Amino acid sequence: MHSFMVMLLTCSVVMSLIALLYMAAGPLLGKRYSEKVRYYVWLIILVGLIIPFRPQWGNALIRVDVPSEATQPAVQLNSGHLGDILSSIHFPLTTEVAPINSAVQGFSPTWWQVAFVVWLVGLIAFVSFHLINHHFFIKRVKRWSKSITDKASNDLLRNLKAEMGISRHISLLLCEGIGSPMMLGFAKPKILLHTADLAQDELRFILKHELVHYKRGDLFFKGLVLLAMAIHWFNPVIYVIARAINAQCELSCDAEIVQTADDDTRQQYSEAIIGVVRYRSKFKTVLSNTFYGGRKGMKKRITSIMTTNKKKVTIGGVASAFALASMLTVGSLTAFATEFSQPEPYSPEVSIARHRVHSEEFDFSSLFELVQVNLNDAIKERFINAEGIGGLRVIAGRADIIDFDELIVQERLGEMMVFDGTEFSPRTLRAGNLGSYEFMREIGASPIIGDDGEILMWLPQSFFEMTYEEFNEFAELLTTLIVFPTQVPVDINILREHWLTAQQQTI
Amino acid sequence: MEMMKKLPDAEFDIMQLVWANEPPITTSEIMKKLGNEREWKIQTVVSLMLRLSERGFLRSEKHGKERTYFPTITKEDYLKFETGSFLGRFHNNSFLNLVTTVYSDKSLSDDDIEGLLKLTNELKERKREGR
Repeated sequence: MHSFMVMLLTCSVVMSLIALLYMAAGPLLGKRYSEKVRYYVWLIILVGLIIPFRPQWGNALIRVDVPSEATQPAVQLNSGHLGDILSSIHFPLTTEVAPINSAVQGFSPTWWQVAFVVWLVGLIAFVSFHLINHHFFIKRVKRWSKSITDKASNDLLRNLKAEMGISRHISLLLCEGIGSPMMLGFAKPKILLHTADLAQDELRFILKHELVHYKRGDLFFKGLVLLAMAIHWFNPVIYVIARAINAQCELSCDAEIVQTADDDTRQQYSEAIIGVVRYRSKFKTVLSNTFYGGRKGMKKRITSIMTTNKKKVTIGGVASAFALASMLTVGSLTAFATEFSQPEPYSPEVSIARHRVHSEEFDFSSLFELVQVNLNDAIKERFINAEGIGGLRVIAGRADIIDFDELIVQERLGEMMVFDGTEFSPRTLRAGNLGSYEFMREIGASPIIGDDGEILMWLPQSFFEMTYEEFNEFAELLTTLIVFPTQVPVDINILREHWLTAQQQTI
Repeated sequence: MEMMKKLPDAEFDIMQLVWANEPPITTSEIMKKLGNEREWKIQTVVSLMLRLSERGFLRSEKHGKERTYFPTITKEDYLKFETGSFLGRFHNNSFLNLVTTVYSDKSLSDDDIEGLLKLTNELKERKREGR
């Protein structure tokens, strides 16, 4: 969940920057690329805003659940010094990695937990607000709509549909009080006219406009915009983006209608649009709170309608526009992906528990202290900088050295630690082959390797009931598997059997 | 008028019929227009008309046996009232509401609109000259 929040914010910022850049480049791009291409490039950016979250959902939710079951055992073990260690370990943890030790200290939320909750509440509020609004809007529209029965209008609609190859039934309604003609309905599309008082030409252009919207699936596009807004509701840039997309949607719709038209037709079309603007503005001035301010946008729109010629864009040109946009988007997606796709943290049911049972054989107190020192560093390095999970990790006071992949960790931990007279740099270790790697994960074993080749093996709780000899034998086999994965063939099945026996004994 | 409230659906349906008709209108005319669409009894319609009169939407006169009704609030006024309460909220942001429109941005003044019409002409002329 932590990395989810980081990713959400990163994605929001990066994609906003890309979008702002794209908007800034608008005038330049307008010379080469058609309105349509520029409209669909937005789709790629939208996907970039929406998609990176999906695969993360599972993770995010699972990670929330983990700590609750990983809490009890370690706390009650060693009485004296462990308590001190716990408290010293907790200090950095409570501020930065709280849910992990929730059982020990009660729940103290961290910034990202608060942020997650705020974000989720905002998302839900945003979605509900829009659904409720939409619901009321539809209700009012239904109350005021009448179907248009006059033959001329219906014939016109039928002909236009045939011309554009649309076979779906689209109802035509009159709805006073909407100010502008509109189309709505995913399941049952309806075109609503704002007034019955339209010249045939005007009606034709208006219907065509809405049919182009329909044919291109602009409603779904708008649905995606809404989704992106819901996810990024906290980001002010998203509202600017939504406006820009909306404007581009109209521009490209206009362009599609007039692309082959002569100047007179273009003028007629412009006048039809201006007619709607006039009607709507007049209609709205009667209502309270009218804000003027659509002039600039309309000027641009009219200029575009009147002057834009079909761009002589080569396929290569279009392709390069899309390629650039995709590269930017996908590039940042991959960046997110590599940054955030650490291996799943495996079961927290690991490690130090082993020491509880065999504390007569091993003197772990010194190790604990060393671990504590290193943990504090590690926590600062790994968790406060918040790059994810791996390396040293503490769960309810139990220290785990985990992660077989991230060799970076060894540099981070730096200091050497002495255990049983042997010096170790508490580095983690790359699994020799997939088989052993998988197996390590399966049983939750964590090896630390010393510089002189000695290996310290941390094993999960399921090994409690093993005798010291059994444990040693097992650990030896396991370390062989790790260090010489290819040279010395070790049968993983034998190890697995050991492991299973140990587990059965635990039960 | 200041206290105008949103009409419930049933009363709204009656008002639609009243507005669609050249005033005055009688209860039996309403009944006829309603047809079988709603299975309302005459009593229902009468009480709805009564309530509309109380609300100040209708004014009635008695001519012998028959009572005739006149609308006291025009459809336009009521439309303004009802849409005013939701369009202000909805319309500027209609792009959020899963509809496509011809125009959904802010209002323009008459001058601006004249300017736009001029602009279309200018652009057309300029293009013609350019040729």
